Amino acid sequence: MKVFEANITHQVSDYLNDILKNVVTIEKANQKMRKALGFIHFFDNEEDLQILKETISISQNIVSEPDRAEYGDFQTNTDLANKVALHLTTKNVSPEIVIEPTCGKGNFIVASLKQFDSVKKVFGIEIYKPYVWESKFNIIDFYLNNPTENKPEILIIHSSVFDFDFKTIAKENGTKEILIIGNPPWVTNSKLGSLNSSNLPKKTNFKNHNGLDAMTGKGNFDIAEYITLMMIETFQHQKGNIALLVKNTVIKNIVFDQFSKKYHISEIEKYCIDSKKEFNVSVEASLYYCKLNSNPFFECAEFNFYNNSKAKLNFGWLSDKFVSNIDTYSIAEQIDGKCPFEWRQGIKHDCSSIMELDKVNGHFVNGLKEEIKLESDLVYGILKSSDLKNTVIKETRKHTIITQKKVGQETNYIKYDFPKTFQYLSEHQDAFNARKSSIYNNKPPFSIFGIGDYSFKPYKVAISGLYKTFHFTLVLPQNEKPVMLDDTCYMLGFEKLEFAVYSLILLNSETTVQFLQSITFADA
Amino acid sequence: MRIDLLALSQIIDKSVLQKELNYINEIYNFNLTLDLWCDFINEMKPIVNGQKELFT
Repeated sequence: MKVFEANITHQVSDYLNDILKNVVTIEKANQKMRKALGFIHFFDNEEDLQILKETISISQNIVSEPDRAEYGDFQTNTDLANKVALHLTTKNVSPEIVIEPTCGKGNFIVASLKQFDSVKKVFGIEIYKPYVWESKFNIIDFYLNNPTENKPEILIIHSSVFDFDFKTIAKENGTKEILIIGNPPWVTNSKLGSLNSSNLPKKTNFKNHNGLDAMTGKGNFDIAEYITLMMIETFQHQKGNIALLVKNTVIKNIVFDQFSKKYHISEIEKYCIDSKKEFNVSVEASLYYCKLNSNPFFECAEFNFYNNSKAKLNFGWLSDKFVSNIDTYSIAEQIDGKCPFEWRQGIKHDCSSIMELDKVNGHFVNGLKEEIKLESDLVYGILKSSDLKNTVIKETRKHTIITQKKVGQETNYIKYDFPKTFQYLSEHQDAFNARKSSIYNNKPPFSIFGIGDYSFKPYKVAISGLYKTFHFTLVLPQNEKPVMLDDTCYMLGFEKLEFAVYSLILLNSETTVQFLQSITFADA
Repeated sequence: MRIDLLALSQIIDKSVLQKELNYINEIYNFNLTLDLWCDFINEMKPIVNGQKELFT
């Protein structure tokens, strides 16, 4: 059965029918709900009271649920919510105040009521009105099934978490142990923006990114991260704990930010959950836990949520280095420094249909499936990230046209020295003009980036920038010409084959692999 | 990139280095030796170090 588009059991419906039987005013109704079950302001207005009474007096009321993707809506199943609350009891968490900043259907609130006898007040904040009601109904259902359970004051508030005044709660309950628990939305602000959602925090550069970073995507942040940081900032000086289900990237970012922010949190822990099993999603996520009102701590212990007797590893700050495995890093830290050779990124042209060629039956064919004739002088073999699988590469699948030897070089020489190539490029001028990036503005025609003397070194040692691999590849010349790499690859260039091979051996050594494993985050 | 190749070159076991080189020579038909290893190390050393040596 549904009321206000919220699910309600017959047990709860019958209970409300009974308790509100002769009640006509909101004041009386709220007084009764407070006395019986601890709810403060169960009804916000007279209209809600009337609608509820009318609806539950009719046996059926079916309404279809709208699309909840907008809100990043993945309700935590009751089993997981109960396990989280139970786990917190093993850490001597005994809150007087429980806050669930995005309470949804209230599963964490119910789990908290079940596990913590110490609770005196509960705050649930929820933007979706049907869930506000469903939380209330679920709590009533819990009490009807467990009538002797502790009944604290309960406030389920219909509000956006971004507009809610948490600071007042902190101020009014400064001496009480607080628990912030829940599962904030795993969605980014840009995703919400693209869905035209109005449920966004006020535009704020909350990570203080500079203008270019903000423009080029660093301004895209995770809502759960925003909410978690908001909770830490508000309650860091209050006795208590935070336990929130968030993506692993969020936990990594929070621990990273600790170095500069020095929040008063400690005992930071990450309990990895099986998101596929719990939420049927493919993103890596965990329970984030920390203790408030402590001297700032800069490490995080990582556990398996389902078998958490011993930490798998510790990550965080070791002196001024942010590492993914503190123990492994300690073994390899002597090679953490500056590479004496300069690493470069490969070619960027943003015009793959014209600039990337296949060789078919001795002829070059472009991305538009056109067979093209051009001089071979400016054509070089090119490797992409996906090609860097083997230890040594001698030939390439693809070819590319290298129009410049350095960034910004004039390209009018092509017309006179390589007329066929010039004709080909000119015929596809539109494709070059359509390149969106502003870096091509006011540059010579057919400009490319990621080009310099280093690009023409005969021997290269390269690695993919896209895949989570620690394997380096030696790239040899093809037809006595140096092979290029695209901008998804990083490389060192050498004149001498010996130097390239010595570097390859060093970079593929166990020490290097251990070091890279200890500074990279595979799951975030 | 943070990998200090110079530091790495100084801690790697030379026998391991030779073994890896032999393996690469065999698989990829090279004929490389460690004859240029010292030149490689010198290439990686900062110019400042060289200047200090000049005056000591």
